[in-house]
Amino acid sequence: MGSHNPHYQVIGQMFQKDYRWLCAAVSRTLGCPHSAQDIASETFLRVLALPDPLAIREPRALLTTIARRLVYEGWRRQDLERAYLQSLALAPEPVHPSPEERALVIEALLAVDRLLNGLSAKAKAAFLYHQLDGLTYSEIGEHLGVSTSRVQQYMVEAFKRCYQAMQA
Amino acid sequence: MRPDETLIDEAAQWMALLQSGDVSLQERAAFEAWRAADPRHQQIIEQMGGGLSLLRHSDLRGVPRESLLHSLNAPSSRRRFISGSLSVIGIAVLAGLLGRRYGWLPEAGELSTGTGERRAFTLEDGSALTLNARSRVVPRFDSVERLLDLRSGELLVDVAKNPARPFVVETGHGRMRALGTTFLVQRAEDATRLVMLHSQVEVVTASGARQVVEAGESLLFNERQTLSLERSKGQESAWVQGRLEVRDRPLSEVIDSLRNYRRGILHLSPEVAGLRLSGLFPLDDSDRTLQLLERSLPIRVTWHNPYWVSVEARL
Repeated sequence: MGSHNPHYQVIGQMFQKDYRWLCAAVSRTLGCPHSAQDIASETFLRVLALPDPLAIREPRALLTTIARRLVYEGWRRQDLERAYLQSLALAPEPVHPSPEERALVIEALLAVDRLLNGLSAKAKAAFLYHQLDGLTYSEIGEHLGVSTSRVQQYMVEAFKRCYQAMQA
Repeated sequence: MRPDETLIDEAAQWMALLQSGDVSLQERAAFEAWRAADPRHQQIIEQMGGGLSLLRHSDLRGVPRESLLHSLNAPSSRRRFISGSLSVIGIAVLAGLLGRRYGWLPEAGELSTGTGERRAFTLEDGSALTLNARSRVVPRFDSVERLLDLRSGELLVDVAKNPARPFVVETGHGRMRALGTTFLVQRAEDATRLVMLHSQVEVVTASGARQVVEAGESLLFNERQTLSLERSKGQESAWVQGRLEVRDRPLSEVIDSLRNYRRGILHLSPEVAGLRLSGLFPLDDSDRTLQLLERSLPIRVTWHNPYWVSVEARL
């Protein structure tokens, strides 16, 4: 793709007009100008990846939304990472994943968290036991101390939640 | 149009039932009827299932379950910040954006075609690739080899000559290695078919069985072994021109090809699946092809609606 690509022109203009504005806006939220610049740059990278940047009607609204999402994602990543490390420390058998493994697990946690966010702890457990471990509904029921039909209800909730998360 | 809550709830009920592993034939038929009754049903089911592929390839398999659940249930320290600030357009856009990173949307560089679509591509080495309908391929070119990973469907490739960098097509069943040639690869669920149009290719199945296939030959193989090597009938690549050409083939095979060119359900009754036929049919007008089939075979084609067509014995 060369510079004559109209997408790049549109985003180039957006960048010139709105980069400083976005840095300032994010900086107000975070209270840290350095991370604000990272977030703003990442935001523009994400806009570049959009299938049809020419269709953007409200560039600042879009930038704000993406930036906020990135900030939120960063925070949530920290929450998940902290909880994950804590659970490793508490594990009966000591587990020491390499830094690479840890990074992969945290990315995967973040993705699954987004998918199942908002479900009850039992519904999350039921869904993951089924999808990751292939347990049957009755096995899951025994494990969680609930009836098989309750497990089926958890699965219904989980699938609805998946649909919402996948809605694009 | 945004599907309403009732449809989403129905779809989730079906998914939970289908995933229970305890589904009767009647329930499955009822599900197929529900799915065919409205194109939105199919769409919702597909999107719902998108999250499952994420888990299938997940790095979480090796994480102790207690640890996983403990982490996912961690409270969000700043959740209030985000609530209310995400506009609807934002969520829509981001689901698409983030999806790409986590692999439930097409992989980077993936080339694919939808139902009823054929496309020609020029690869970075100048090779000409044509994809049949409902096909997916991921090119992985490096300094050692030019690899096409055929995930599903069918391709025809005219390989640019480069003896220093072999051209390889890979399916789950094995690898086909060429230096410069034209060949066709058809990936099905349980086997891969290779049809050589020019020159030759060496096939190595996933288990290591080797076979050289010459121009004019056609090899069927699976991951364990080569299944049959025969003279090619010469019409396998007719789809490139939008035609389906068959000589003495079962109706089931013709219907399978048509399925890649039609949305919805195309049901074939087993009692007519084995009827053999020869002929030349238009792929891009599958309605017409079905009418032609009905005229030349003892079958009846019933159009319940555009998404649900069944082919049965004529009484």
